[in-house]
Amino acid sequence: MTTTAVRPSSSASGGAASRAITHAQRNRLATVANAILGDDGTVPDRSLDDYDAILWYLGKLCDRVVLERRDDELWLLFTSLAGAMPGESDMEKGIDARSRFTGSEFMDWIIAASSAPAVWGGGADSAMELVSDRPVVDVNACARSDRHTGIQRVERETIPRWNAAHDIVVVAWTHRDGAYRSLKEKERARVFDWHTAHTVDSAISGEETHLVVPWRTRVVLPEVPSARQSTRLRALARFSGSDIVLIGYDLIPLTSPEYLPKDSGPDFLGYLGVVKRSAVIASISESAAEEFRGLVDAMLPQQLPAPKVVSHPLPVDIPSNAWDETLVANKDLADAQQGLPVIVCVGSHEPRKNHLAVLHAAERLWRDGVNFELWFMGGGGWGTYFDVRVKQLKRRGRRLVVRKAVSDRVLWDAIRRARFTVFPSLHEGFGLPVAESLSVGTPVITTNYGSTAEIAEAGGCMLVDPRDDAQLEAAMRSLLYDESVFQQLREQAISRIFTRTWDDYAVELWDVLVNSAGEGAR
Amino acid sequence: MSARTARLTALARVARLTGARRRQWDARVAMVVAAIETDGNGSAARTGLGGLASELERGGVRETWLALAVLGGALPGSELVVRVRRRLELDGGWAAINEILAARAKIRHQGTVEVSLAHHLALIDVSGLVDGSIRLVGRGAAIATVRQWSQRPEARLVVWTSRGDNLRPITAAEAAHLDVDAPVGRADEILVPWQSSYLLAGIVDDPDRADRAIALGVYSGNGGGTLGFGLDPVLNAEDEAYYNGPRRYAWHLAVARSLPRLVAGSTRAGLEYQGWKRMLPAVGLDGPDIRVVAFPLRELRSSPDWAAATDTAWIHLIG
Repeated sequence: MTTTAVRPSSSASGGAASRAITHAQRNRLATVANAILGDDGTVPDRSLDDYDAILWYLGKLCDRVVLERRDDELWLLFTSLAGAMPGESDMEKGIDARSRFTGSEFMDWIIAASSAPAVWGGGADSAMELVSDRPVVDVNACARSDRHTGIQRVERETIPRWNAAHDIVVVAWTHRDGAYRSLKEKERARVFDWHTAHTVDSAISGEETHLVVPWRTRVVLPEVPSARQSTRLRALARFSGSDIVLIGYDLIPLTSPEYLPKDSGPDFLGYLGVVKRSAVIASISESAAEEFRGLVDAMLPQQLPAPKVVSHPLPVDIPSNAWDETLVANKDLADAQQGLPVIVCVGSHEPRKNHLAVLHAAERLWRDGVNFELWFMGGGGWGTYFDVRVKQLKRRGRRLVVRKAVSDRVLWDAIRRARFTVFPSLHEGFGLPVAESLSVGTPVITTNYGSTAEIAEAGGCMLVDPRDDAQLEAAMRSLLYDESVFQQLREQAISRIFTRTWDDYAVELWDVLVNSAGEGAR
Repeated sequence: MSARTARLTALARVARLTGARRRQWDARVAMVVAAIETDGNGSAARTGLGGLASELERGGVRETWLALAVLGGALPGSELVVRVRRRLELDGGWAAINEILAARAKIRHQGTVEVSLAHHLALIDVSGLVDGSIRLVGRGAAIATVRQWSQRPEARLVVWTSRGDNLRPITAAEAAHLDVDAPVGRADEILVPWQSSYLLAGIVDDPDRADRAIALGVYSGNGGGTLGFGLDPVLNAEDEAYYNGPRRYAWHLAVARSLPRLVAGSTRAGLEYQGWKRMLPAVGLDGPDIRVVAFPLRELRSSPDWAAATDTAWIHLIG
């Protein structure tokens, strides 16, 4: 039988690596034995070499697992032996094995079963920290990437505030997504000091980390895990004694796959299994909450404990310089304006944002002799006819500006200069550009359903069916020509006061996800 | 582009079509114009390309969809339908014909397919049922239901072509595989539904076919619906999700979302679809009208109860 608990080989380099793994296994098993067996888990002879100590710990722990049949203890034993968390099928096989085998037979089984995860999980030679007294927060993508869009922004505003106020453990995944690990120094900077230290190198290597194993505690997912991570998280939620709570952004890959790149989706399908096993979902809008409630409803026939879905909208926390009239951030734009009314459209260029409808409505207005400028602010995006259409319209002399890489300063400058903004997105989790426009008193034309309609409820917006080009054109015409309608919306927009800050959001989110997890019905 | 320039450009493009391709184009133009006129919306004042340009300008989005489906040689996806419709609004019928000709030029197999209009029929899409290559909840019940439905005179069983851009009648071999006695066709014959119903009894879960099926549901004016047996591929996707290439059950649901009606084949499936429907207002849609038809157990598929259930499902889906 191939085992991970092998005596060190005699070859020099292979031997050193093997000894490192064996020594790490010994220490991890000692931690687990102490957690599960208490004083009975202390090896009687401290002079035992690593190999014999491992066999001693395994013997004790396997007897215990077979006798007590506790899933959380089996999960922890597997994790510590492999240095990687088990998947659901690993656990199901383990539960079957412990019901049929003696302690000794089970030891053979688990050594074999954990060997592949030990090789591929990325943490076999790592030390382990067992966490049972604090929430563990998974910030993997945020820590490992300089990307700073919606989800990372929520994490970088919320997690540092939690860290200042509470005792939490932030984690990323090992190289092959086998287990949680501690963060490297620069990764911590990405999470906790983004606003001052976000120029760190993307590639970070060489620094030691240790495994972090959540056990009988709470795991917070503020981001969407990969498919591989999800297989382990589902097992964690089912078997480890920990529960998973998460921020629910949207279900776009499930409800609107046509608005995403055609090869996207596998990670999200794996994630749905994690959602299914979660305890609390804090959604970023009421609309997103309804999506998650629908998913929970659809899962009811499976008779699993239903996650509690809480609508916990994002804040609209405007930077202090957003209202600074002296900010002329972009001379090109100022020069381009030439006294004409400006319509600003914020967002990446992808089908979901519906920018082709905006171009179509604008072209109809231009052909009718209506004089205005249209500015698109926002980078990225993929695979649309947008760029082609922009070129065609520019050739016709249309006053059209596209800025794909814009700083916050330029963006706020543009939104303040705009007569109104237009955001007819087909599906949003929250719709931040709508709130941001209103926060500086600029009216918005936006979608008449979902999260954008929620934001619009208190005024300052003209709502349209984003699939109806004629409605969009009529709304733009109205806000350009009808001064009374424009002034009414402008006054409503100016009167909108967004009082909730990231501080408020972080405090409330802690209450929703950590303090009240598992309480009450959905 | 001015209307005159658009007209001259379109005529020049058509003039470049020679021989069989030109005859095929002219026949398809006549087919579209005749279909619109039969619909009661046509003017019949002009024939040929001029007539088509006029009909497109007078018609709505479903006439645009029909012209793209027949003249373009492939059922169009949503983005193409909307793009041509916008071009029509801005620059008129001749400009739209240019867009259709441009789309047609990208389809390389024009000469090898024969387009027929499926008028006042019920096209039952059995993709995934014939080859059995797709894991489908309730596959056996779906086949048994299709067997019953296929006895109706208006029923035509179809699958997507191997290129995934058109619907074609099932072949004799496929009919034998399903054990149905239904009209069959050739693999190079394609059917474009017009004033018909599209009933999805199989599965359409790859992006390209689904995109075209969604456009059919949203823009073509054909009615129809989905026969569904639950959301298992999504709710229990788990580890399978990764190895499924580009296929996603979410695409199949997006097609179901675009059709007006859905029959859930069990109480459990009904609950799952109602949950799914609750998600749809986030994307501004109500979703289909769902009706639960509890099909009898497997061993009762030859019983009167089974026939009654399939009749009820048919009536709900056809509307």
